[in-house]
Amino acid sequence: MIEIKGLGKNYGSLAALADLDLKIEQGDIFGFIGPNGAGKTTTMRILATLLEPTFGTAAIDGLDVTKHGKKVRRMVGYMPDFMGVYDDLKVFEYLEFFAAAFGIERNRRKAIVEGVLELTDLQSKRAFAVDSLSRGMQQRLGLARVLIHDPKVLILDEPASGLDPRARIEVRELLRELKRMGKTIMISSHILSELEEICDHVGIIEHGHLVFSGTMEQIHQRMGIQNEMQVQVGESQRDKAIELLSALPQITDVKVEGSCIRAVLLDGESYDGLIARTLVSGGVDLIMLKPEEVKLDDAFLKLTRGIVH
Amino acid sequence: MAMALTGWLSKTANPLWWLGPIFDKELRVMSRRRRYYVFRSAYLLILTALVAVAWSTGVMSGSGNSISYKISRMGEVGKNIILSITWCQFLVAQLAAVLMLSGSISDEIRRGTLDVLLTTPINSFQIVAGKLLGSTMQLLLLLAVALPVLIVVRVFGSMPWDYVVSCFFITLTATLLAGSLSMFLSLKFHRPYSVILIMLMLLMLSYGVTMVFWFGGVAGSSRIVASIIVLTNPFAAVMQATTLTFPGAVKPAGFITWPMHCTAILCLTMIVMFAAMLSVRRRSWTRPVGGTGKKWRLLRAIPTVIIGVQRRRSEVYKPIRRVEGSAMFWKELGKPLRSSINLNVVVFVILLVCSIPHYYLFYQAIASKGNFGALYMLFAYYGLALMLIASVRTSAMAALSIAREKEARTWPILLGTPLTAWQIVRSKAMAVLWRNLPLWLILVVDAVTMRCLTIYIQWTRNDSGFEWHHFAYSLISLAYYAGLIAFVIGTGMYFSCRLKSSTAAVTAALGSLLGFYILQQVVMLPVIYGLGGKGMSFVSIMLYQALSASIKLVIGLLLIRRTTSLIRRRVF
Repeated sequence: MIEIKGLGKNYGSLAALADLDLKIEQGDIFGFIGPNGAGKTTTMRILATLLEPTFGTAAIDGLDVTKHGKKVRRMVGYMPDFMGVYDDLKVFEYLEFFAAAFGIERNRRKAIVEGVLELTDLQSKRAFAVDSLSRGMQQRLGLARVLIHDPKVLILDEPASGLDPRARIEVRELLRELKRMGKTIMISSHILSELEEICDHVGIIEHGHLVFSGTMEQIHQRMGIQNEMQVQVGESQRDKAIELLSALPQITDVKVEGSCIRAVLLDGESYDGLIARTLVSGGVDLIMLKPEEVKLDDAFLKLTRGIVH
Repeated sequence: MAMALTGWLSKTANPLWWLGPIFDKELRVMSRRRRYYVFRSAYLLILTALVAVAWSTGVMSGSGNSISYKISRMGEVGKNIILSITWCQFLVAQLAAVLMLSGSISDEIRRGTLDVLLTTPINSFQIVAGKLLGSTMQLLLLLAVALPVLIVVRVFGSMPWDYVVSCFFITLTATLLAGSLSMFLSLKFHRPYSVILIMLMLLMLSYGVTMVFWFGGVAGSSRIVASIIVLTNPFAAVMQATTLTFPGAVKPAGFITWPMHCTAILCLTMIVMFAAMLSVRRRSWTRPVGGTGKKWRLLRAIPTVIIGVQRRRSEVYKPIRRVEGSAMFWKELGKPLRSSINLNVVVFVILLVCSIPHYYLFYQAIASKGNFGALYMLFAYYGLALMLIASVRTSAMAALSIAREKEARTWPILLGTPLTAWQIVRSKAMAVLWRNLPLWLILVVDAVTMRCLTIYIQWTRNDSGFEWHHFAYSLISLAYYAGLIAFVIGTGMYFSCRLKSSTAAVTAALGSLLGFYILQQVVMLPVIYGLGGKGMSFVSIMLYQALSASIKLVIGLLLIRRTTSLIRRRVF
């Protein structure tokens, strides 16, 4: 659905994008991740026909974004990183204005606006001034706006930034619903954990280059994220527990951190049953045993620092 | 105790302590901004042009070509140069002070830096004085730099010392007053362009009233009125100083001298600064709960009327208005087309009713063959004021049309729709014209009515038969307004598209309007004046109007075309 080949964008001597290649299949939710200034927003603006690339091509549904701007705009719904609002319009008027701007006939507009208001759960706010809405509501309204012309592709630039946890969850649910509707969604963020639950594919960009593209599983493998188990035993039995754990072939390393023992596992299995049995049969009183949470943000930091290639 | 007292005294004896670090910061920031280099260059260019015009009109006028004749004209040239420079400095310095300080506090509030400043030991006086003097320091230096030049040229023109010195100090104090007022208003308004428009209106109003009083003969007859005007109005004070240099001119009847005027203006400046000091902290407290309340409702109405900013319609009970016709045009109007038509009709009728006494007085003045006197000023200034208001309003609205979308960050969203650049520009330009239509229509009615009345009187008195040029002049007036409309909309939209901030766009649009006016006066008028032979004939006036209209029309249309091509290139 979206195909980018050798895309580059220079702002004077600054190269915001350098030879970017990317492909997003139809119906995918593609997470576009990178640190601030990596080139995410520039890529999205080019796809939304708001910027012209310095070199390279970008196409949506086979249409070049620079040559067929008007056609591309009809099939794309773009939500910028900061949602601007007209302070003299109400929610319904705002959506109807964009419906008219997208050339939807007058007799169809009301039904369409009501539909997107229902989908985004904004019916109760239809008569409110747009600038009186909370940040979360404004983000919802932004999503309602991008859906008004039923686009095939949604380009959402950090749609969850600045939202509280509840609003983030709501946005996530809304995106899942849109995926069920068959939309192709490109969503950017610099927080990997925010996207991992909803994205099928992820692309990581840094300094205008794509450093990784693939599924979430592939990213785990590529970064070599190790599974760890956290073990807590009595103070007097710690040395014995370390000895028992070190003897297990499934455990590659044993580290002590404060009152906890950290067991680094050989592969993706958790081995919690094996560890529990080993310790209990060895006469150690087990206080706690739990898998260590994988720190994806740390992994992302590793990737974007160029530690993992 | 003694040490503390000594420490406090040594601290407060330092003038920099009184101004505080804000003054230092303003000076640093000013020197880094490109716009001030542009301003200084433009200022020097204007002064050079004025000197050139004063020289050419002084030396070239008359029939003599010999060296001795030209030397004999040097006195006239010197006088012209001094008058041009002093008046130019007087007007430009005040406008520049308004521009420089229009966002002095509101920008700090918008950026959230005022709260930070208020948490430091810097006191309110240091904030206010630092901002005022820091921003106007370069301006005051520019004024001071021109002083030796004026003093030298003064010798040629036999202008009295008193004139140069009085104009310098009147300009200085007027600049400080305009700056302090602008800064005070920036406490009350979120947008710097609102402050600029209010200050422009206040300056035009006060100076317009002065002109009417002055030339209407009131200043020459009423001692009290003349004194009050000269005491409180810098424009009148410069007028008085200028009048005193001309032996045959009508002397004002008042008893106020320029030192008294300057003292009064300085006192007024101190009062405004004091009010600003009191408001600074209050402004910071009231901001989170929605501004300064109802006290400034009347003043707030000025930018609303000038630029037509809609009142926030956050009330839930107000009906939702459906999109009718062109989406862009509908949005730009801010109200349903029918109520917009009704509003335009009501405004037009009100203006027409206000104009009827004006037409009646004009008719009576011509019919009685009497001396126009004060009435002449009324006729001239009524039309001029209407045209000025229409031009400024249209220009400001056009300048805000795109820049406000950029500031509100709705511009990329709008460009993400399939609307073409031409559709957007056309709708915005049409909406600006539509919202100002009553003003332009009344100007057209004014021009046609005046001519019709003149023709009617001539016809009834059978004075000089049929005067064809009245019809031609009416047609040229219409063409002039068409050209002016295209020019103000074209320049406004162009700068709105080129610049990121709405204040910069409004300033550039109004500046271009003023610049073109000066160019007309400096370049076109002398040329036409020369073509007219010994004076301004009716034909040369019509030629001037037609040429001006054509140039404005072409520039306006070219800029609209350029805006259309730039729209998608200057999104962010």
